[in-house]
Amino acid sequence: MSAVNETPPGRQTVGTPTGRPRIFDAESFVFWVLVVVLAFGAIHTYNLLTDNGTLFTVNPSIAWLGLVLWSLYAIAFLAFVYYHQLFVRRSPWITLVAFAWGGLVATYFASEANNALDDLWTHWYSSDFTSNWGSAISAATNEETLKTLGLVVLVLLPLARVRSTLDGWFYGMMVGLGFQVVEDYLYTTQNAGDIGAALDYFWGRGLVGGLWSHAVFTGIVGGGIGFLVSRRDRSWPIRIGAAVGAFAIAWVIHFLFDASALNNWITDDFLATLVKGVPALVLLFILVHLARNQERRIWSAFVASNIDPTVVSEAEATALLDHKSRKQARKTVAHAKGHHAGRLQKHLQRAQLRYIQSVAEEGLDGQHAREDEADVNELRALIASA
Amino acid sequence: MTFTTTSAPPVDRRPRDLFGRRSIIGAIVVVAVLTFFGAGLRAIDENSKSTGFTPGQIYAVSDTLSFTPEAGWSIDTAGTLAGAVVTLTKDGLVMKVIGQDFTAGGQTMQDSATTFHDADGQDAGYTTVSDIGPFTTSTGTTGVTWTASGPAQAAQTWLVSDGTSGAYVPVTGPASNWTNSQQEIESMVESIVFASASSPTTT
Repeated sequence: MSAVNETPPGRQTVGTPTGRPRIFDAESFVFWVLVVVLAFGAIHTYNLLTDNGTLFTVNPSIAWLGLVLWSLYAIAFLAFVYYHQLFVRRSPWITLVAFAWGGLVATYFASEANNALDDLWTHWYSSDFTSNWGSAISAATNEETLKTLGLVVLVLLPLARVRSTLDGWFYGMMVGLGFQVVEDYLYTTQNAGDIGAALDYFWGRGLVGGLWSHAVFTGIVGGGIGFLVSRRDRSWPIRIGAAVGAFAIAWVIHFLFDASALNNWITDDFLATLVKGVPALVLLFILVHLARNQERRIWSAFVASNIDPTVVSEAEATALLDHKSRKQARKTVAHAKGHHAGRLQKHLQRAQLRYIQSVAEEGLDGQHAREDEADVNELRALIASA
Repeated sequence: MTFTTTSAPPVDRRPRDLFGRRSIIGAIVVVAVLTFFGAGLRAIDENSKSTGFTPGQIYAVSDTLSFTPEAGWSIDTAGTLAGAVVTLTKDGLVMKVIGQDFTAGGQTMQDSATTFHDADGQDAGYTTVSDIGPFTTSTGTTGVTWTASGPAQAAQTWLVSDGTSGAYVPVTGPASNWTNSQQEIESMVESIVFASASSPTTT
């Protein structure tokens, strides 16, 4: 993200619009590589997941149950993260591509790489080394690198416009989530002998272990990548250090989760998961908190300089700064004008956020900005008449 | 996306050209990394293997125990002890063929199977352990087998005996890698022959 003047001298004309992010970019060779790789990964991952298409015939109950459970899990997780974006609603298509990279590309290539590297560990050292340490080194190295490559692809696509630490965090989480649910589905169908065992897998890997798994690892890496490509106010060594450091942290956490030799130290599975997982989640929260503060400063400066106060007043902009103040503003309106008005206020806040994003992307005269401005005015009138 | 103000540097406007240097180099980097992980590591693995045996030909574990390894498997020398045990690996799967006298101390193969089976049942890495089931190889050698599976690891164990000599064959590895190798593993177990057996079988 670019350096900005944080105390802008009143409203000015809008800076150069950034453009609306989109995934389709026929003028980028990286885009065509992405298309081919996604198709290649989809075919191979399908064969891997379904045992070359036989799974739904051989073991239909587990196959369908797993598919339903993990699909619902993915949708719920994705929706939770998507709707907790503070100021920016990122492109749904880019979000889906990030998810697909994790689920279709990273899983297949990591499977191949892990097998080969595990063989090499055994060849170079021993099967005991592979079992205790080697497999964990393989998984952390191959999987984190391949997931990170998905983020690099998005960064290399000019029109995807990955331009902030939070962009990196968000798309990183989506890549990791894709990887996580596909891997979990694979483990469920391959290991669960009956429906009870499949539900146990869902509980263990999804609800207990899923809070601090691949989505969190790659979210941390994504924050580092986002920092690297956006914080031009910082020196190259700091930016590179942040990206490398974030990858190293994710690698170590991933390794600690997978190293079976470490399981002897803490024999209780649930406790082990907490000890390994909570630091990962805390790190991610710290990263998101810092990045959000940065985004909040830039957003506030942008609004103060560029947004018409009749569309978003200073007080409304202040109320939009975090979820808590947004809720408080809705409560105030609901208290004064009733529950329906409170709901309209929620829609108004969303329309104002869309408007600000549209102005940033397309300028004041952009089609979306005009539509969003009309929505804001209409909602404001409805609230006034409530 | 980013928010800019008039005081901010110009918006990043990268040149967009299908065959531009940035576009081509980026694509090459992506393809190179994927090729390395998808095929390069496998090639290194294949080239660095020293199998120590010829696939399809009988391999003697000890004076009384032999079997026929399948192609694609290699010997883990660190896990191999001449005359007693050979360890084979492929795709993260580890197969041990261990010569074992099940009759020591007046025990039977079934006693040993129960002991090993119970150990799998107590292994925290396995959530499901099947019952012990009997089987007979094509050469008439009898044995028992069971499977165990966990979140990341699956296992199958065979105990075979001709009544005098015996072999203990545990196979472990990532659950996702069994499908392609299951048939090969079963063929190798089928190929186990003891010195007292009628004739060796190759696959």
